[in-house]
Amino acid sequence: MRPDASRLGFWGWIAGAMLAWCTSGALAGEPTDVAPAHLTRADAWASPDGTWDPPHSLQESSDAVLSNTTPWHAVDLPHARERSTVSTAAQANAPPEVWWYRLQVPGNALATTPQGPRLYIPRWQTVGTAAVYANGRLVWQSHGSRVWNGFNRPVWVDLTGDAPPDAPLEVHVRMANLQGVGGALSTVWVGPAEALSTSWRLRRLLQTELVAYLRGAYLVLGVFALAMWFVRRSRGEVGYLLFFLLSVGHLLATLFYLVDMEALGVPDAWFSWLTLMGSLGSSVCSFFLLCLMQGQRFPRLARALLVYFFVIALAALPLWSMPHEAMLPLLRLALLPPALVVLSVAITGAWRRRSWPDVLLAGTVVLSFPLAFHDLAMQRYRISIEHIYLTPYVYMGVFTMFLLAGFARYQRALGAAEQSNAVLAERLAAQEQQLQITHGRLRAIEREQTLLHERQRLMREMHDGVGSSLISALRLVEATSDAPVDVAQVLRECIDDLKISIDSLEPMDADLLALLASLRYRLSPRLEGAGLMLHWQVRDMPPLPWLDAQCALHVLRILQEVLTNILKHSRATDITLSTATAPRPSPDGNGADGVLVCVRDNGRPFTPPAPEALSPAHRGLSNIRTRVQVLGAHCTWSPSDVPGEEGSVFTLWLPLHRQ
Amino acid sequence: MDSPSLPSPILGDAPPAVRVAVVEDDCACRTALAHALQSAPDMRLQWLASSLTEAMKALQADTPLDILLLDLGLPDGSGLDALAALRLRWPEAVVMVSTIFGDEAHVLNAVAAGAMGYLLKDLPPSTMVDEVRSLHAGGSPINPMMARKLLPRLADKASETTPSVREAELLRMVARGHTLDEVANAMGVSRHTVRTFVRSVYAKLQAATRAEAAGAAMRQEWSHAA
Repeated sequence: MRPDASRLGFWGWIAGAMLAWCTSGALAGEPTDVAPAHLTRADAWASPDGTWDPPHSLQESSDAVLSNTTPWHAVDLPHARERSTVSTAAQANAPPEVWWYRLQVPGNALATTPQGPRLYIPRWQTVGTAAVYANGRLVWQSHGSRVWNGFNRPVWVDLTGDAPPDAPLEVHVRMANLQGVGGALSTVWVGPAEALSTSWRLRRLLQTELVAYLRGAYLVLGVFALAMWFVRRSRGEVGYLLFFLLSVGHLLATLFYLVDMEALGVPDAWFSWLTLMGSLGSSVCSFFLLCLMQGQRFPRLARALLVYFFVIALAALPLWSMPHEAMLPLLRLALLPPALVVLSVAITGAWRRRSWPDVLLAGTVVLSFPLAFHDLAMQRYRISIEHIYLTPYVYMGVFTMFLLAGFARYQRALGAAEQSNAVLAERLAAQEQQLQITHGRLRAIEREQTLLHERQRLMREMHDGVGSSLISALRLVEATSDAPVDVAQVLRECIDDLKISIDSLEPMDADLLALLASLRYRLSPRLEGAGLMLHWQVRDMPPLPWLDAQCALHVLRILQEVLTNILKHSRATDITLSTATAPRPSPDGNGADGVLVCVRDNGRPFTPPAPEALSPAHRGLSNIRTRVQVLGAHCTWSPSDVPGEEGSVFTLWLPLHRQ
Repeated sequence: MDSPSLPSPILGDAPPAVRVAVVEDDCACRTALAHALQSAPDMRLQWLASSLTEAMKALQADTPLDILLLDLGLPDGSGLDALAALRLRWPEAVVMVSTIFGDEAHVLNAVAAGAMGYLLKDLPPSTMVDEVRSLHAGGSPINPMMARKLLPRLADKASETTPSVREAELLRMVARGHTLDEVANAMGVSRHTVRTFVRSVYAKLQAATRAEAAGAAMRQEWSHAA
């Protein structure tokens, strides 16, 4: 049921694939026993008639085609009349050549079937018009222009009503064409629609529909690329724009294969110009796209190609009133140089890069040349016109290869991105690990430093405080014989020292008052035991952020020393401890904010000796000075400022913030 | 039910001696305490224990107590166990934790568990007996470090355990270094009254601690039931 398919030559494999689709399901129609008639012979006659328009019936024909004297001669179908002359401007206005073909259809091909009989002409081709007569009546004629006359659409005529069932039928085909351009008629099929529709459909699909579908799909991709270019145009990614232009160029270049039986609505000359521009533009776009994708640069060639494009575009403009029908073959030759440029660039790129998409692309470009020559031969009637035009598939092949190359690049870019991500993650992990190691080391160092400081601090405290108290106790016990021994008193002082050391470790939250409170709590039993009144006149103070355990102990020891001195040496009866906020006192005052702690007593006035004059006996005093210095604090002893009263005032100024 | 014991009623002119027991593992301290208590006419030393085991045994005996002087760090366990046993056996008795300096955190925990006072081990014997007397009379001691820690612990509790205005003021003043006598002067109350304020604060701490424990237990029960 597919006699036509075998004639498609190397398109057989596509036909086979399509057949599986066409013959399965409703497209194949109901099976029928009636065999169609395949007419491979005809009578031909070159009529002297000089009119373009076909007569409505053969009786009305002015050239008496039905006359018995008509000199028919037998020809084989497909029948081609070769171009005899070079196209000239004169041809366009001359009267046409008219050729008649007469075909006899046996009656058995016209048996009654549900769908009725059809006439199927796979292809006719010329620059002119065609008409089909059944039993002398006009059943079909071409429309549109003489150039774009739907040559790529198979003729499919319903003979119902024109062909009586089971009776022989006489079919005439009239072709009127420009002088000397030649023409061709393929074999003709007559038979039931059920038997012929499959091959008709297959041919229609391969010649026009598939081309239209793929063109549409690629145009969508092109528009998508245009949108991409528009969105990302600040990045100068001109490849997307080229891709869009390529899809448009291909569409225009293949448009004339899709011309149907009706008039175009566009002047022939402009339509031809558009298709030419499409082909030429496609080559130019392919060139630039190839250069871009393969990273090649041919600046001079690119300029030359652009100049060539615009020159041809201008020269071929239909405004110059050149007879385009005559010029068309010449203009087709203009497509060759850019195509050769693309070929050489594609081959160079494939040779240099040797990646499979580039090789495939170059292969497709190379393949396009034999295919183009195949189409040219068809156009010149050098090979059977029942072949299918392959140029649209060449375009699609090139386009597909560009897509593949783009896809491969995208894949590579993705792979590279993934790899760089992985590398980044690895580096990050390594750095994190390094950081952890460094952090661990730092922590260890910090810990050691803290321990060292703590050890030094404890050593100092032991030495200055508990240690010296214990040594005093030892000396006292050793010298028991003469001095009045108060070992208990020394031990109490020792315990007080310890208590104060431990209190300094209590977190004080920068609260000096809490620190002073703990000092009072520890020392007041001893002061009260000695009959001293301690007046507590403290007020709220701003926090001292630097008051850590070490600094707290310095403050405690300074005040402890001062209070103990008063207790031991001043014979005072009242001690007043007060606090206030104040700037750093003169002479070395620099206006820094701070707090004051004043210890006032009513005992013997105390004047501290000059630092140089300090004997080992005044170790307590020198301790005070050292600690004050460490704190960045300031201290003074002065006589009581209350008139008529003895005593002295110790003032400790502490900064709010330590440098 | 197990509210802090009130001062024993004073009957007639001769108040009954305060019945005291001592749990202390350090021999010298125990001896010093025993001496101090025995030499005070208004004190009666009921028994002495040097370990938790001895203390538990003595607690079961039929010797009623007013005050238990309790060392927290015992060789065979925590003094807090003895505290719990005492509260069951002699609910009216009051616990006084004996401690060395710088141990405010432990003392506060003991107070939360039911102790009403503390005794510094390095106090002179006479002062020690004064402290016991004051505790028996319904007052409790406090120091700046404890006051500082108590303030935030009670501030965010339920309304029935928040300190009253006076109690809060007391805690603030003590934390700033004022003695209880100075606080009493400032508030215009007696030295004894101000000490009863302290005890009331301790009772609130104990109530809050119990409520917390109950809440925790209930949450645990819920989570087990769920």
